[in-house]
Amino acid sequence: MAEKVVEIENLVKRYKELVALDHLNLTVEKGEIFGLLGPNGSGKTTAISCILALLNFDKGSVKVFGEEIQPDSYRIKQQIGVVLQNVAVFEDLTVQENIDYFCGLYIKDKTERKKCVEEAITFAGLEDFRKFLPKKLSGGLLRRLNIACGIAHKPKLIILDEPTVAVDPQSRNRILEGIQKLNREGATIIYTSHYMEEVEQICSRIAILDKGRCVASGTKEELKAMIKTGEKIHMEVMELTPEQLEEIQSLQHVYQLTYDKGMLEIRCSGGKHNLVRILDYFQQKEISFGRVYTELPTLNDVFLEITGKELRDLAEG
Amino acid sequence: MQVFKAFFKILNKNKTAMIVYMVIYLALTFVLSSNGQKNDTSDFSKVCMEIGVENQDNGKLGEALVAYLEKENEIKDIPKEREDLLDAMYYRDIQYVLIIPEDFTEKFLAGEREEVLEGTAVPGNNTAYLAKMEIDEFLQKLGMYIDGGYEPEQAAQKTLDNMEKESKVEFLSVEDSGTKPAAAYFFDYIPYIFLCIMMVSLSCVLIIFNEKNLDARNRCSSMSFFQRNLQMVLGSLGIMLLEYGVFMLVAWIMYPNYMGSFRGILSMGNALAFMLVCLSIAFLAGRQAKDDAQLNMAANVIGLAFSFLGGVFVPIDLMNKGMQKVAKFVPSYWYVSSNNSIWKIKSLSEAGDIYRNWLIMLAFAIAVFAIALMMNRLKARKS
Repeated sequence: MAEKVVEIENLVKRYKELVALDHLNLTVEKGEIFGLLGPNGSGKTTAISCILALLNFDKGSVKVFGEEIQPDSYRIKQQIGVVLQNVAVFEDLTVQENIDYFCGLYIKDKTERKKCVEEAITFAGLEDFRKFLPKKLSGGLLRRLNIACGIAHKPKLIILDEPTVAVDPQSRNRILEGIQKLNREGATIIYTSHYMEEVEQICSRIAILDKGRCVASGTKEELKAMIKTGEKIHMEVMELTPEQLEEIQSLQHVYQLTYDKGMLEIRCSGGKHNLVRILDYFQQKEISFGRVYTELPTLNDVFLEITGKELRDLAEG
Repeated sequence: MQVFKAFFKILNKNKTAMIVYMVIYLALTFVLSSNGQKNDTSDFSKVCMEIGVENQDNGKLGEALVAYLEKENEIKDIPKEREDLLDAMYYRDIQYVLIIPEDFTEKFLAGEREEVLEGTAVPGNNTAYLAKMEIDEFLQKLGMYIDGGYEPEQAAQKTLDNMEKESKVEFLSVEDSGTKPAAAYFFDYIPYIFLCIMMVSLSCVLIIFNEKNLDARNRCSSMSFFQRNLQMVLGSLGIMLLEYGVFMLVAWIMYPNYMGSFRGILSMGNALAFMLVCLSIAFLAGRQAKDDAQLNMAANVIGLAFSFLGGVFVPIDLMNKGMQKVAKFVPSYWYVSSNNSIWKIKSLSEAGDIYRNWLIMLAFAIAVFAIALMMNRLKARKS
C-alpha cells in the first residue's frame, strides 16, 4: 500500500456563515501528481491553506507525512515546498537573492544552499536573469521565479496553487515539464489549476471540489467513466428536418444532440459502433454530409457535468 | 539570519530617500547654525541712514541739528531738480529729506516748535521714520535746555553731549541670545528628521514583510515564528543604530569640541532616547500601513504634528498655555525641553531634568510598542 503523504478527514472550515470546506476528505499518496480541480470558490485554496497550517479549521484533521499539521510543525514544513497562487517575492531583491532568501528559510548551510539555489535557477531557466529585479521580468519568468523560490530546498511535497495563471504557452510548457521532472525525481505534488488540459496532461490522480466537498476523485480514466458522455460526434450537415433530428435522437446510445449553423453534435453515452450506426442512418436517408470527426470526453466534460459550473456562473452573473 | 540580511538588502535598495533627507537636513543645519552664530549681542548698532539735508537757517540751532544727524547718518545734498530728488528717494539713495527753514532758530527760540521743520520720509520705509524720531528727540531736549535758561549755543552743545549718551541694550530672553553653540542647532530639528528617516527606512521594510502574500509565504516555511520575529527585531534595531550612528558621526566630524564635552554626550543620549521613540512609531506604522501611500501620509502627519506641537519648529514659549499643556503629550516636547537645557547647564549634576525627560521618552516608546503588538495580535486574530 502506498505511503500517504497528505490525509484530510472530515475537514470543515467556515467563514462566518459561509462553509468553505464541508467535511472534505482527501488522500494524496507518495509519488503522485495530485490535481485539485474546482470552480472559483469551491475551496481549493482554503484546503491548501489548511494543509499548510495557514488557516485554523473548525473540525476534522489534516495529516502531512503521517503527523497532524500545526502552525509550529516546522519539521514537517521543512519537507514542504509552496508555490502560492499570487507571486510572493521581494520586489527589491534580485532573482538570485530571492531564491537564496526562500531557500535560506529551510537550509542554513551556505555551501549546500548555494548549490540548491544554482540548481533552482537552472531548473526554472533563469540563468540569464539572476541579477534582474522581479519588476523587470515578464509574467512567465516571474511565475518561474515563484516556482524556483518554492522548490529550491528540494522538498518531498510540493504544493502548487495555480502556478500557470497568466503565463504564455512556452513558459507554461516549461513549468509543466519541470513539475513532471520534480515528480520523477521523487517529489509528491499537489497541483491546482483552472486549466483542464494541464491537469489532464500531468496529474496521475484528480479530485474535483465543489462547494467545499470532494464530488469526485480518481484517475482521469476513472473520472471520465463516471460521466454519461462517452463519445461526441460532430458532423457537417447542410439541412436536417425536425423529424430527422428526432430519429437521430432515438438511435441507440444517443442521449443529446444539438444542431446549429450546419453543424450537428451528437453525444453518446458509451457503447460501441456509435459512429457506424449514425453513418448508416445518414446513408439510408440519403442525407448528404461533409466533415465528420469524433471526440472522446475530456476532463472539461467531466468537470462541467459534475459541477455544472457554466450554468451556475450564469445564474450568479 | 535570512530575514535580518533581507532587511538590510531591502534597506540598501531604498537608500536614496534616506540620503536625500540627510543631505537636506545637514545643509539646512549648516545654514541655520551659521545664521544663529551671527546673532550676537555685540552686533547691536544704530541704523545708518542716508538723509538729504538743506540747511537754510542762519542761526546756531540748525547747525547743531545737522551736526547731530551727521554723527550716525550719512548726510547728502538734496538734488536741485524735483525729478532728481524723486529718483534719489525711489532708489533709496536718500531715505529722508529734511529742510531747515531760514528762520528756524528765531522761531524755535520764540517758542514756535510745532512743525517748524519740513521733513519727508520715503513711504513705507520704516527706517526713514527713525530719522524723524531722532530729530524729534533732539528738538525736545534742545527745547528743554533753552527753556531752562541756556543760551542757544550752550543749549545746542548740551543737547549734543546728552544725545551722545547711549543706553545699554540687554536681551531679556537668554534663549534668543547668541550664546547657543552651533552644534545645538544640529540637534534642534532631529525629531523631525529622525521620524521621517525611520519612516522611509524601517516602516518601508516592514511594510514589505507585512505584504499578505509574502507574509503567508514566510509562515509556510520551516523558520520558526520566534526566529523570524527575533530577526525582525534585530533588523529594526540595526536600522535604528545605523541611522543614529551616521548622524552622530557627522556631528562628531562637524563639532568635535562640543561632542567631546559632557554637553555632547547629553545631546547624544537625548537623540538616542528620541530615536527609540521613532523606532516604536515606525514599527507601529510599518505593521499597520497597507501601502506606501498610507505610510507617506502617516509620516507627514506624525512628523509635522510632533514637530509643531513639540516645539521643534516653533518655540514652545510662543504657544498659548492650552497648547503647551497638549504639547506635553508629544514626545518631541520632552526632546526639545532637554535639548534647550543641555547647552545651559554647567555640569552633569544639573542634568536631573534631562534624565527625567529621557525616561518619559522611553516610556512613550514602550507604550507605542505595546500598542503595535496589541494591534498585531488583533489583526492576526481577525485574519
